[in-house]
Amino acid sequence: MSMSLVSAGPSLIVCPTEMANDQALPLSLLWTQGVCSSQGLSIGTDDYFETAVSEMGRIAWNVTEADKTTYSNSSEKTTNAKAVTDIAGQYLLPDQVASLDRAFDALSLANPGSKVGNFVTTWWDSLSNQAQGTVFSAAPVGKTAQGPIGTTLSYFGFNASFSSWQSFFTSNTTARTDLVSQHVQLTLNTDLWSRIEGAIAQKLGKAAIASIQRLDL
Amino acid sequence: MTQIVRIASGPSGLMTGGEGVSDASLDAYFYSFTKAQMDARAVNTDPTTDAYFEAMTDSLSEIGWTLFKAKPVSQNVKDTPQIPLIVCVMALLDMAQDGVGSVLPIDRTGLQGKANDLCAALRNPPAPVAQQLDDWWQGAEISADYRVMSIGPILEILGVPNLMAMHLSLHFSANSWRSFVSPSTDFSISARPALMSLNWLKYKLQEASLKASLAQELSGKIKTADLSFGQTEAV
Repeated sequence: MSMSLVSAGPSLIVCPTEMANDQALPLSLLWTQGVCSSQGLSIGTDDYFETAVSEMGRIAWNVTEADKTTYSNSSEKTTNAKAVTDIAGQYLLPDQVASLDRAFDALSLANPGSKVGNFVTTWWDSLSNQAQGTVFSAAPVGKTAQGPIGTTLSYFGFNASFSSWQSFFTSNTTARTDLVSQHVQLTLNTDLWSRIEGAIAQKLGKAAIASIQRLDL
Repeated sequence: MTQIVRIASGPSGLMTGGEGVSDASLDAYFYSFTKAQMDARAVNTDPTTDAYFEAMTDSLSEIGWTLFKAKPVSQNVKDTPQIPLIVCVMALLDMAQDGVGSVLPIDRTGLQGKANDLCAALRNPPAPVAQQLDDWWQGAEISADYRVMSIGPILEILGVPNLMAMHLSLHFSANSWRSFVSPSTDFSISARPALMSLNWLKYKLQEASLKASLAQELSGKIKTADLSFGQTEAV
């Protein structure tokens, strides 16, 4: 099965290629980003996550599972991107973890093609990646067993900042890195979404929607 | 520093099954939970809290879901010392579902199988996995409070949608990841299940107004929402 990456702001969506044109999750993530940012919330904080989850619920995504976890990584030989997929394995289905692994592998190429390079550079530039740390979100999306669209939205926060995406995906760190992971499982109320999608797209505006990137792997 | 091991069975929730549900049942489920979770957020925005769970199930009851709330079950290791945590977790889930199995075709064997698989995997992990777990756990002070809210998939029985929601909280401390499958000395756990079945008659009386009001209210909020796409700071 072919796979695609879609980025919406700092969020990375991993999906089967046949779902890559579905705008429900990218628009929803852009919407939550806009709401949280307007309230001055810093991505990666508890307040940001709670507001984002609440906002997703408000725009037709139902919470089907939620928990809160924090992790400490004392290892001196962890690749940071790998730590994400290791931890994601605690709460994602195996095929979703494999999708994340493949996506991160594709992004970690030492000499990526221009298509991949452009995608990851644009996405990386939109991440919160300042002196205090690096934060981004990832969301494998697919159809649930019962048909509707489902995703597990996760926010990953590192206590270290990375100067470039290469250092995040390809280098091992020798310093202690703590990782905060917050995640919630969501399923879309597609009927309600169809009623409000137009209003959301109109409010977001063409510029925001045009920022959504897609990369077929 | 805290470190927590996730014990829920995965993205499909705490139950298995649920395929072959009619569109009407799915539609009722989605709108009911959209409304119930909206009501719950007004009480507490954190879906892992007791307050959220209570408010959500209360709202579902008003919408037309008949609730069979089992009493919360809990266990402290002082009552039953030297039991591996995972066994206690599964026993509690089993207790929580006691009586439910006769109403809903819950795959208890599958659930227990998953727990057994997890136990087996963690008791004797391949070397790379053990190394990873050791690295991961190393140096951490293990004292965890863990909460999870999980809504099982819908099971349709004679045209009536049924499902179970569960709120689970866990506290434990340990000095290695092996404590999860080895006899532990300090943990407590509680599980709060809610079994629900849709009363179609009651729901149908509210369905049209529920859908219209949700769409109208949301559209209004969307139009007046403040949005910004400025740079946000990292934690």
